[in-house]
Amino acid sequence: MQLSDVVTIGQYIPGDSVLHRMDPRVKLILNTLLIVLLFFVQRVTGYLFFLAILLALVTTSHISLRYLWRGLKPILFLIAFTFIVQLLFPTEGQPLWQWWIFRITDLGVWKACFMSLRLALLVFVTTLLTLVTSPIDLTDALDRLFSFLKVLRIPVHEIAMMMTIALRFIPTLLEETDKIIKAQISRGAPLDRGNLFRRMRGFVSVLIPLFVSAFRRADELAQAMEARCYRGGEGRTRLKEMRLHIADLWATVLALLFCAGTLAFNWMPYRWL
Amino acid sequence: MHIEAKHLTYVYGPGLPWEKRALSDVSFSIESGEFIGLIGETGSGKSTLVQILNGLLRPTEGTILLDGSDISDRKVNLHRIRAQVGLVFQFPEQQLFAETVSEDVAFGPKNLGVPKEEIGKRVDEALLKVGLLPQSLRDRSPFTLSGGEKRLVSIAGVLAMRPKVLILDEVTAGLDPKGKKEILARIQLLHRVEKATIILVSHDMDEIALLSQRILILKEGKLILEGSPVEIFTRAQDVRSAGLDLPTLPRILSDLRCRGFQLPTAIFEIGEAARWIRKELFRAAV
Amino acid sequence: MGDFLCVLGPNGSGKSTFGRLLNALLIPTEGEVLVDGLDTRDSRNTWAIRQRVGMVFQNPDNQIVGTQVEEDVAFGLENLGIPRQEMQQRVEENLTRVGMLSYRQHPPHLLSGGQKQRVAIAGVLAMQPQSIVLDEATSLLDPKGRLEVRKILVQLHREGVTLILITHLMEEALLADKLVVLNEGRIVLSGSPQEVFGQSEMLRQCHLEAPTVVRLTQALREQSVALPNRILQVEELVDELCILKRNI
Repeated sequence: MQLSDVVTIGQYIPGDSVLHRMDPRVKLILNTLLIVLLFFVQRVTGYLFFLAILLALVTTSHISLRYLWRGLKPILFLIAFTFIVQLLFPTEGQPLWQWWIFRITDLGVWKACFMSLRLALLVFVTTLLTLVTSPIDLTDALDRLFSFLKVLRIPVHEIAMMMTIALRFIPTLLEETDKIIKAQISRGAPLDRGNLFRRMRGFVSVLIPLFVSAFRRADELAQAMEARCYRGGEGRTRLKEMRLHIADLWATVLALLFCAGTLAFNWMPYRWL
Repeated sequence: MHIEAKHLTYVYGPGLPWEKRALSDVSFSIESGEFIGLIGETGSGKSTLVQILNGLLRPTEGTILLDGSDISDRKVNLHRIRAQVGLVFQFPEQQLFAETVSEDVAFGPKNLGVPKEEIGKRVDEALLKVGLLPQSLRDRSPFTLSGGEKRLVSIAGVLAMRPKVLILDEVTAGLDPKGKKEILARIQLLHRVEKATIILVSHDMDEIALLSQRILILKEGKLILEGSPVEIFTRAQDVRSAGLDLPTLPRILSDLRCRGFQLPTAIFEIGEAARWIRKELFRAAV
Repeated sequence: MGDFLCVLGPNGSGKSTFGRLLNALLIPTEGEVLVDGLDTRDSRNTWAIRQRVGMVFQNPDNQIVGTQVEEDVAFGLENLGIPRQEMQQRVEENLTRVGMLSYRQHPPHLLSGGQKQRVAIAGVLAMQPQSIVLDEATSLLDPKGRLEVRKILVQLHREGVTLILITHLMEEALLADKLVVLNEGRIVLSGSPQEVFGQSEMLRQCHLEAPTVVRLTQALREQSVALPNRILQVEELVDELCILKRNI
């Protein structure tokens, strides 16, 4: 098993769908909008509508649902944790069951379900965004959307460049970690057994080489960038043009309709069902 | 140690869309004390195979017998295997981590539970085996050594576990000619003096041909050729089909043979080759 | 202009330092480096010099900045402030030159070592330098990757790009028309491949060895087989020997 098989968020799958072609700035804004929207949804109907639209988006992206699902796996425990905390420590509702300091209420059950669903959908939406948007587009979009902060002497370009490089090196470092772990295990490193102290020692044998290598890479990369005339954001031009297309307009209109729809379904009285 | 591999198959991500068959139906056996050259292009399955031999991966199908006991069995203690089959990864110096050379070399035996008194002895012995002087190196930080020395220290780190089989993956990669020569000479000594079973993995035909008694050639996960260097060199076509080429000298000789020169197959040295070619030229004259 | 120079030498002989002096990544302690008449010691010249002298490094992973092939090739151009339209054209043109155009959208970590180095070369070429320094650019590649890169070098040499190849691989030195051997920071040998490879004693002192073809040719010449001195390739040697055999 490779580490990069597990971590899906942040991985980009090149493609040519409408979602891929949209302006990254629009995607970023709409994604934020969806996340905010998610916090307004309170009812089953709202969630169902949200989920339906999301599935429609996944279909348009031509990315397999299974791949997205794998992105969710690493945080399943976080979702489960949220669920349990919400379930056992409710603040309101009719008690259904009680033991010592734990109490389960009817509203608590609902809330636990909603909270974990919300978290899952949040990760789902964001994973979808990173899967259809190349990291460099994303950081470029951030760079441009936040360029007004330059007035406040915040080094927006440098931050965006750092993010690009970080994203570029994630797969490389994952591969490297994988290799170092294997090498140390083959020297009998106690990475998977023994008491906590022994395991810690095992992790040190992985972390130190990883740090050494990351520093060496950073050093070499800095030289390579300088050799290619990199000197900060001043006077730079860009390969990728960001221009709004008709598709972006439609997406915005659809997204707004979608928001309205979700909220409508959300606040729709139950008796209408 | 006798190694026997029967119908080894390894599949990455079985059942997933990116499923990849890295090895298919590979069988071979290696005698105790043999020097094996394992060669193939990148992606031919070499590293998968050595990871199986080291117990890092379990074969999807097939068995591996070490001295008759099956290590693909789920119940087997992988730790014991790793002590018996030492694996030196590519660029092993990138795994150095301890504050001193001796601590780093001691990492393996310590993990195996070797008693403290013996560890020191093993560290010195391992350093000597790779031609480094324990007295001058023991307390130095591994990060201050030269590239070649770092590599030797990391090989010592595996030797300190006293493996019966030593697998070396691309052990000369990135070294200059001098460094390459030194390391290959050390490995040859390990084989001759210590009677170690050695598996040298490489995509460089020259160094494999120089040292190995038997060569295994992998292509797309299959074992396509197996034999002594001389046998392999007479099959230039098959070697080329595996995306490899003969070392320069056998290649020249093989090309000359194709063009009507009568030359023996077992020529390994330039002077020898020159004598035979000259003889052949004058034979034509007579 | 248009020369193909190969700098040989063992590790620590100063060959990488030499390469870095050429494009002002390092400044000489004494002496001067002039690129197109521009002195590297003058920091106002730095960027003009780096545009003129491109550099390809040893580790393919540590010189690719972009998360997509075409973005990486454009990196240098973005830094130079080239207008977008010209940039797109240059990216396309140079990816074609190294045969990587069909990979333009690929993330670099999915490429082989040889492919990564070709992308790095395209990135340098796109900046339209007068010369390219390759610092052990093939030493971490497998034989297939080396072959890929060498083919590109031969092609660039034909196109008239000045190449400075720093290496310890003798087969690579055969591609160049001029060799310089460094040892302990000094030039110990220089000249055409034939001239340099003839000095086997000096080479041995630098822990280097002439390529097998050259050594076999030398051995045959010593045994009074009438071969010409210029043979550098396997095919040449085989052909010459066959001609000899027929004529004797």
